[in-house]
Amino acid sequence: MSIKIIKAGILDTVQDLGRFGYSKWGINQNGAMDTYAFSIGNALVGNDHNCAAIEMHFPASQILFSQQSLISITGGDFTPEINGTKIPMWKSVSIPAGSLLTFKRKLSGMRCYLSVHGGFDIPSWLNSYSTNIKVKLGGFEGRRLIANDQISLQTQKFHLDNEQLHILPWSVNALTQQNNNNVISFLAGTEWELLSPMMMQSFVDEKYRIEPSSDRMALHLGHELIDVNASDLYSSAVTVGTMQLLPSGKVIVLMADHQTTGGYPRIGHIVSAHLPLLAQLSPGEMFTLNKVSMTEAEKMLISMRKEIRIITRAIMEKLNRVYAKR
Amino acid sequence: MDYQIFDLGDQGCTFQLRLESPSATSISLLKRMEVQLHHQPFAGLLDIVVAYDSLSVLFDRFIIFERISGDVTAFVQAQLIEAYRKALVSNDTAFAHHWKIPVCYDLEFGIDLQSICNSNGLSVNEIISIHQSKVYSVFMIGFLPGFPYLGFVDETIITPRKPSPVSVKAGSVGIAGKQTGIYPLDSPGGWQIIGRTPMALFTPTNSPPVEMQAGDTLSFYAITKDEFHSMSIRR
Repeated sequence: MSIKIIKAGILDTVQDLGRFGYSKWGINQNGAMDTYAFSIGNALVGNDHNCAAIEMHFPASQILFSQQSLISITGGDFTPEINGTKIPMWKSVSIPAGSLLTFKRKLSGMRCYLSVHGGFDIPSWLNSYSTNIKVKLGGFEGRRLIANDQISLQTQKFHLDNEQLHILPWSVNALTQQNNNNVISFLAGTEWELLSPMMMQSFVDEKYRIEPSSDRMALHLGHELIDVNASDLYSSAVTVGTMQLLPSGKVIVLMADHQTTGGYPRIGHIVSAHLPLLAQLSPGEMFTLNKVSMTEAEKMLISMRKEIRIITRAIMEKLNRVYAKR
Repeated sequence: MDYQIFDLGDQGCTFQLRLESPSATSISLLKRMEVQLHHQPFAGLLDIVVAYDSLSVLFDRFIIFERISGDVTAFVQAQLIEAYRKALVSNDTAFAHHWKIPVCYDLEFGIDLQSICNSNGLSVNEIISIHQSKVYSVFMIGFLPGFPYLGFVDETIITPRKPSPVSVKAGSVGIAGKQTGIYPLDSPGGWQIIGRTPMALFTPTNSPPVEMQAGDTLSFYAITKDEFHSMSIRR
């Protein structure tokens, strides 16, 4: 009842939707970068929406399943294969015991999620399974997965009796996360007004490139603004999506592993509904920014969360129907 | 006190006091606000962060939206204002803890003491005595789990950050500008290091793993190298 890492990926970690309630002690939230793919991944295997999954980057791990499992791969498409046979993304996939999961090449996206029915049997730290690499705690032993790691699985709720690879017949229609030509929406931040009208204009006209220095802490944007005069800011809370203007004139977008507080000018915040899209952009990719109002941001968030809810309920119904019969 | 409230994207709100400079009084007021919100949390509230002149709430906007089916921003602002009003009339200080932190200011640990002497025209003993002479406010816990930002040091020992971060040992006590602070973990850092404490500020197996909070007060007292080592062993 476990999975084993046969070959390590470049950065594969156990994550959930994040560790909340500890920011005031400087303990950041971590968690999945693409919360949409993460949530749908859990839905596809009949798990609770916050059940731990493995976030993978390319090249990703090779993973051996000791027993029959129901899995899903969501997010970036790294062409997953089971024992050499290509399996589709965003599907519920039943796999036989002894299956080896490998990833051939990166077709799209930056990170994908492996969800396994039942979830992993690992201890939580501060009510979360997310990995905090900086303090070496949470997730699986507080670190990225390496060869020979063996992660125990929880007892399966469904009785899986399929002895061959089987793709379950439904698919996910992810409407709110269709990539709309890499246009990412943001809300003005507190220091937005410090930009000159010309800088504001160039900020939304510009095409941004994701720099190679980007990671789970922050995305670095290859575009320089002129520094604004806000050197006397006291630090305050920042959040995922906060766009900080560094003294160098560069803009960074804080992501899942960001520090809890910051003192750089906050010129904007990526809207929550577009964080999953942003999390899937790879270094070198270009995108543009679109300034929206809170009403629009809220509307997008509500659509996304309702969509996740509807998809989750529909899949759960189908899974129960398939596995209740047996 | 005058204040302003602004959005932190669509998942947070910051309440900021308009101040010349944060003080023991203002941080205590924000802390009392936090206590109010903590005891009567609204649906969807995820985190409360007090820092210097501000209190921020992080929340799940969708949960609030479904609960109130109205203007989420107005709802959160009202919650913050109510907490502020209650904090103004509350004189509860039971939550505030005073920490006495032992520091060994030996040159082996205080690796930057000598350079501060040169730049600020003081002797090592003067710096050590000035650093211990004040009761500091904990203005923020940030950067690392349990890293307290303390203020403000006497102006004679103000010293700028290093131009680029170096490797710093856990327990190191440093100065950056007018602030002083303690590294709870080994970490890269740019603060000028003047000593080291044997006290643990971050204990992962405890819940919560950090006890110190914004709004607490703190003072330092000097210990010898022998005392440092015996306290480190007991830890």
